[in-house]
Amino acid sequence: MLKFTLKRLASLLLVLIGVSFLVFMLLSLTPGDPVRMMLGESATPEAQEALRKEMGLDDPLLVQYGRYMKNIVVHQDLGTSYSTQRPVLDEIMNVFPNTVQLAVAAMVIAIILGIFLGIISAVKQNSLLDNIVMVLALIGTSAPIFWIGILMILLFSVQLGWLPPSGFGSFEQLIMPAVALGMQSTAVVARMTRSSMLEVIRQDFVKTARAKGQREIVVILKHVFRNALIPIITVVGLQFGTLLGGAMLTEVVFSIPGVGRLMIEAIKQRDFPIVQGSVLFVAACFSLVNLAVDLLYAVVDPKVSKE
Amino acid sequence: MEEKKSRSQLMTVLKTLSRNKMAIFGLIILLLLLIMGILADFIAPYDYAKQDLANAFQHPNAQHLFGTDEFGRDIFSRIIYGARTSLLVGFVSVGIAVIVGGALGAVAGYYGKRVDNFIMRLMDVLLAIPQTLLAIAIVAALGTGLTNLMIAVGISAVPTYARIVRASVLTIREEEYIEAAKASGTANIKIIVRHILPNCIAPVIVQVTLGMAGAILTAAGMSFIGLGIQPPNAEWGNMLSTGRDYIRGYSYMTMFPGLAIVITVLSLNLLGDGLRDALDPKLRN
Repeated sequence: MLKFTLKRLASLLLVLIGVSFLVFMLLSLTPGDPVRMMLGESATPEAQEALRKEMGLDDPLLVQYGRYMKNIVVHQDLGTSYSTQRPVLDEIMNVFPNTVQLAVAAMVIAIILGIFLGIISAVKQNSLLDNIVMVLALIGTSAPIFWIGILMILLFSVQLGWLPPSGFGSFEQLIMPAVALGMQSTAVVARMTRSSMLEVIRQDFVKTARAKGQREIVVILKHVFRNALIPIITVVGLQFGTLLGGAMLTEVVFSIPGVGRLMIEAIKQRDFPIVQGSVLFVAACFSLVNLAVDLLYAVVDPKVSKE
Repeated sequence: MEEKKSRSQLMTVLKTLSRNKMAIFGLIILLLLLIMGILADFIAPYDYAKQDLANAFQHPNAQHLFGTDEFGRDIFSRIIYGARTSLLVGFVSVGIAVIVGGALGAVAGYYGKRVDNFIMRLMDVLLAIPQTLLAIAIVAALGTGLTNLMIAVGISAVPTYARIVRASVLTIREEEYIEAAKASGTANIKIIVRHILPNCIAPVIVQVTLGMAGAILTAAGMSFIGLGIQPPNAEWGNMLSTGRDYIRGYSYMTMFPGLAIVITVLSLNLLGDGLRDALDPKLRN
């Protein structure tokens, strides 16, 4: 298990170095001169040249990349924002807790509601309830988060006046964004729970458990659900990527100051250190979550770590 | 003989598919959307970009079925042209992903060893960035607009296809007829194109259908946040973004583009699920 963990950590590190290289090169090849952007069009060529030298922008790209990586490793420094002149990491950490709160709330909704609906659907297979849940799940995977968000604002803020349409901080402000963001994942988890449960429910040991006179709820939760868990964990893990991507859209709809909005604003202002830093930061979080899921997987199913 | 066999296989697939009412429903809606997109010039009652400030903010009525936007543009016409945009984005970006990803996957799976290792580690790097985020980062570098949007969404989906094709190739690579082809001196590239790729078609077709749904959603999302297709071009995502600003009093502006996206994506998902059931009985659930 320890060896498995270390091996996965090493490959994660390599992948992140790859991500940093990719993103660095991608954004460095972009047209547009950061120096002119920072100083304005009226700056003298001498002033521009001086700043360019100070920032090291006239070094070869690989040297610049090396310096970028060195600063990350040695000083935990992701660079400085062009527009606010503050450290990129500070800017990200300022808003990151909001994104995490949003994503975690959405995930909790998706896990609880998704598994609940999936189990009910599987137990009552082909009933009216099952059909309704599956149709809703299908619509849930097809509807854009931002549209659902707008509809919720329309109903609960504009029409009924129950919930605030924007902002972040209070519990009321978290409800709509979390539901909107979690809806798609709820649908995916419900579908996977249902199909995974159905596969197990037909097996012989379930019949045995019933024949022993176990109560049905015990059979379903203890025997069926536990054995159906692995595909569900996998799909939940995969949802984190979708959630992090979707969080960006949700943040825009509900005007939540999060990493997504920070990044989108930075792209519009061509503030590339922020863009670079955010992509790298989110990729690192995403990879760590995936690693955690894999480890959890290895705990649930010992066969995995032996491979 | 062989032709007969493959034809009967195709018939079985079509038969299974035709019995799936949901999938056929999805297919019909998609065909209608496709016709709508292609014939937009003839169907749309108004020019999608024509401003008519005297008639701005009209609620749905007989002249403007879906109402007009803040510049008096006819929303019904913009929805029709939006179908063209969305389907085009779906086709082209998935096309890019299939060609690039398929080629990488085939090469990785066929040659194995170092080539495989290199390509798949590269894919791991791309997969470490959530897909929407990757597309956004690429647009940040390339700039906004239709072409760049299609490239960005396409590239962000490359690893999916690389993995599918590679997995299929790995199962086929050791088959005897591949060995026979190698022994008879057939060039590697010919073996890949003639013998190996046709065997990957089933899983790829399923993923293409579902992938188009995803691509259309991602593209609409990017236009919604202002990093995709910009107004006055008609695109459902950017129409929703405008509608959001006028949500008080003009909610119809957000209804129709949103419904259009849901209907399109839902149809693709229904068809994709149906195709999966028909093409791969193992995956049925």
